[in-house]
Amino acid sequence: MTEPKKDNQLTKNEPSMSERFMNKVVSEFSTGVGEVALTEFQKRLAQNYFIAIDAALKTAEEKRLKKSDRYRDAVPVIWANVNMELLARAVVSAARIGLDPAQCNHVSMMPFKNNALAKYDIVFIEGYRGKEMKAKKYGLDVPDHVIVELVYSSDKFKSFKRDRNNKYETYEFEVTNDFDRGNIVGGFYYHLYIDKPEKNKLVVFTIKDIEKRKPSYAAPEFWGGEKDVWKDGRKTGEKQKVDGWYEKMCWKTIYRAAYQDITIDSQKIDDDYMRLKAMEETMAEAKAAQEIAENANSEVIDIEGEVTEDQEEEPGQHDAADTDGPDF
Amino acid sequence: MITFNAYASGSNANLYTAYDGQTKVLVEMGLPIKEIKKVLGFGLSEISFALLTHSHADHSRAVKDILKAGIDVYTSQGTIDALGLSGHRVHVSQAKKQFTIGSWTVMPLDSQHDAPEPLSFLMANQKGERLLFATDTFYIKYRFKRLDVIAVECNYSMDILRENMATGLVAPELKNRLLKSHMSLETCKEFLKANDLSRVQEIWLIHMSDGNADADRFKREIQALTGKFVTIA
Repeated sequence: MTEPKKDNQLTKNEPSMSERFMNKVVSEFSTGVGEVALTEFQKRLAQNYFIAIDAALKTAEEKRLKKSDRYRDAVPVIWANVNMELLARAVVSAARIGLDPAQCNHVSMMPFKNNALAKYDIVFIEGYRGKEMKAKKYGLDVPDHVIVELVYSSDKFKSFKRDRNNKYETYEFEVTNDFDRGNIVGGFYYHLYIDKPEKNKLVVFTIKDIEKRKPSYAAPEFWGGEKDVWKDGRKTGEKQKVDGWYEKMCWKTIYRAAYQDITIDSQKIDDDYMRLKAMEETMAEAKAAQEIAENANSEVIDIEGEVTEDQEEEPGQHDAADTDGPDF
Repeated sequence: MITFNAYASGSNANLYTAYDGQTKVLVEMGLPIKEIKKVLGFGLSEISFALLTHSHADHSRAVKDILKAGIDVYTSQGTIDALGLSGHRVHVSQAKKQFTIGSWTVMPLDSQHDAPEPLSFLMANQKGERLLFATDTFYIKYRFKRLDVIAVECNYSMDILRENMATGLVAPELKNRLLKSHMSLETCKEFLKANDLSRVQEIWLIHMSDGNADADRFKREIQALTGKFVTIA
């Protein structure tokens, strides 16, 4: 009768992986900056971080293993190789702000190799909903409503700037055909202050303005476009067309700009905000470092063939062939 | 023997020459033409052709005057379009498509910079000596079988950049641009480590930042790493 009870006790005392992570987060943070107190809600949030980071590590490790020996990083992307001190601080900061990786577009995580430590830094990438949350929490003068719309070729849009005839900025916007709106020609965001409409702010984007904000590393799965076709671990040289979510990405671009435009109140800035800002900087460094690590000094190249007198071409010889005509 | 010279280097202006005893090449033309003439000792007629890496003004300021002076300019289609260049002295260079002018064979290579179609240049003379000219690129994609003279960008170091950002001297936007457009001391070191330097006679550190670099320290560290003669442009 007593044996099963012992088993039960053992099972009960064994901490789960997520609990071990949570303890590590709290202890790592305490080691660096003293005692830390997290609310139950923040602890639950941190558990969500564990799940999201665990998934991110698994995806990154799968990608690492798919690479050929030459390009594969020697360090496996597993929990044992994660820079835990940095992660602990990042998790605590993000949890205190209220960013929840279980919610869509709050925050996502990605491991980047830190060559100095031979470990992986987990970089937190703020989503557009995360930006909204941060702006609402730390903003100086947060609008009552933020309106974000894309404008299509069949829509009617007219902006009215503030002047002697208009007391505040406003616009007229009409969708003339809900089911066939044509191509995206631009978009706008509008900060609406109900009690102080003179503060209302309208910012209009042309499609060129939107495209300019498209990241250089934008994946075709999101923005649409073409991607390389791989076979047996090598590029075939063929391209595959991907539809992506172009309209949604355009809308998100304006949405991010709308919340980025809310001035941050210095008095509300705390350590968590500063740490989150620092993490954004770390991400830029990590992305550049990753691109360098993946591409630099890899392809051997040299001038082909021995350079001999026969191959010489005197300056001006090619002029006869290149007769674009004088332009000066 | 290759003689490389720097007359201006950095984000204000860039002007270099490469000479192998037979053919003198102008590399970049970021000074006003009057100053170019002055620093070259009014020896523009000695220049056989010119190479231009990209369209930014600190590299291309005098390109139209150089063309007017009757010097052929070799650069990418992206740079030609960005600068609105035309005429029979403008020649399109494509990455990895080598060409021979005078005693030089030039292999243009793609660079990593925030300009349209930027290039670096690997140049060989008839003795087989190689000069690599790589600036305004946050890394070099390639490794080289032989190099005799290296002119490579060494724009900033991460520690100085971070410090300058913390004190507000460098805006975050500028830092992010630098990270993906110019070469750091750390990346420069990795590049040198990745290559066979046994035949290298001279290393030129070019396009150094005014505020985010320490010339003496960079020279000392590169010299210690390579054991080669290092010159700051």
